[in-house]
Amino acid sequence: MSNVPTDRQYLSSHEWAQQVEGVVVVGISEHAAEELGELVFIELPAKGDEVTFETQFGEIESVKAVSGLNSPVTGKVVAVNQELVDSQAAISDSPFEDGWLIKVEPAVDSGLDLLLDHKSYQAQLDGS
Amino acid sequence: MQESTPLQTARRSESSFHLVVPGPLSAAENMALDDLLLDQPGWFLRLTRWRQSVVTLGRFQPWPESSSDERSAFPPIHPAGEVEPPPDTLAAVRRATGGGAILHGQDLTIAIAGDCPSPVFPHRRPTAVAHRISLLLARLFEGHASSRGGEVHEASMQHITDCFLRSSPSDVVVEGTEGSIKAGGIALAFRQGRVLIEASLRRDLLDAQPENDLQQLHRLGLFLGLKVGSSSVGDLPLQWQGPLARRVEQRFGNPHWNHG
Repeated sequence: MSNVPTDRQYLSSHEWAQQVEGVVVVGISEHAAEELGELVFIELPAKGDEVTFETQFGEIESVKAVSGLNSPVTGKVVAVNQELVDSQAAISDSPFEDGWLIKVEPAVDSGLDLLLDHKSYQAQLDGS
Repeated sequence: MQESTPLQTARRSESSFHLVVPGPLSAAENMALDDLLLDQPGWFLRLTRWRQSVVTLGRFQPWPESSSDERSAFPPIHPAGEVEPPPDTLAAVRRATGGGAILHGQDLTIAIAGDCPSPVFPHRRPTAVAHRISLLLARLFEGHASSRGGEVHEASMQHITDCFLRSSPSDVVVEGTEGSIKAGGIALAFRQGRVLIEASLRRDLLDAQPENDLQQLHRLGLFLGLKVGSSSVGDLPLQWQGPLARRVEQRFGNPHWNHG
């Protein structure tokens, strides 16, 4: 069973958001990382780009499959995990910590209140 | 995993497929159309017809360094002596899907787009979708082909440009005197609850005759558990033409995006 930390929120498409000192850290869940399998490429937005709630902000390739990454928050990208461009291992090995993707300064209407809490996300995984 | 019979699968799905057979189209139009189908509701089975020979690159593959002579910039595509395109007409375009480079023009190119997860593809896992479609494609050529199977070693394949020189469990293979020969490759893209599957099948190895293409697409639809629905042969639906042109302009026909 995949780990679902209680200190963050989730999109049904398996991205997570964690609010830390006014910034929202974004990544993909352990379940998503396991489903994707061996990762080979990632494309992330640049610092300063705008991202929109439930809209694609990047792409990741695994096993000949390119998957869209959806943003769990609307706002401005203030940091990008550049280490992932060279190696995506951290996403598989540590999806909730070292494998974070971007950090976002949330807009007023950020969409964060629409995310699933850990219980709802766990229920989604249990039902799939 | 035991595969369902078409009838069993059909009982689980009430969806019908829309058959799409446009063109022949340019390389950019063809890839833009697949991308458009990924974003459209419904199930689509598509026969891709090329206006000229073209190499498609996986979404993240490096573009050849020499943009003025794309043909010479590519290593040989397909095993030597198989398919040689007219060198002065070869173009290249990037796909929305992953995987390696493929030379099109004399292959059988098809695409499938639909919901995932869904009764047709219950699991969103790329390996599961690729495995299922590989089995079904092999089944289209019963007696000739099988699905390679085995372990995934995708990262070790990245230095190999040509899809047909890579090895993957989802390959469609035929048996030769010296072992399995790759006769078909699959690439996928997932976006917003949808999946796009693009497949290239070697007509020479699979005895895939062009006059049987539509019949084979129908069979594939039934294998997937979909019902036969409407079709668009020749001209595309009017409502697609604007979005298609925008995708060509912004992405697949745009050198900046392609070379990106």
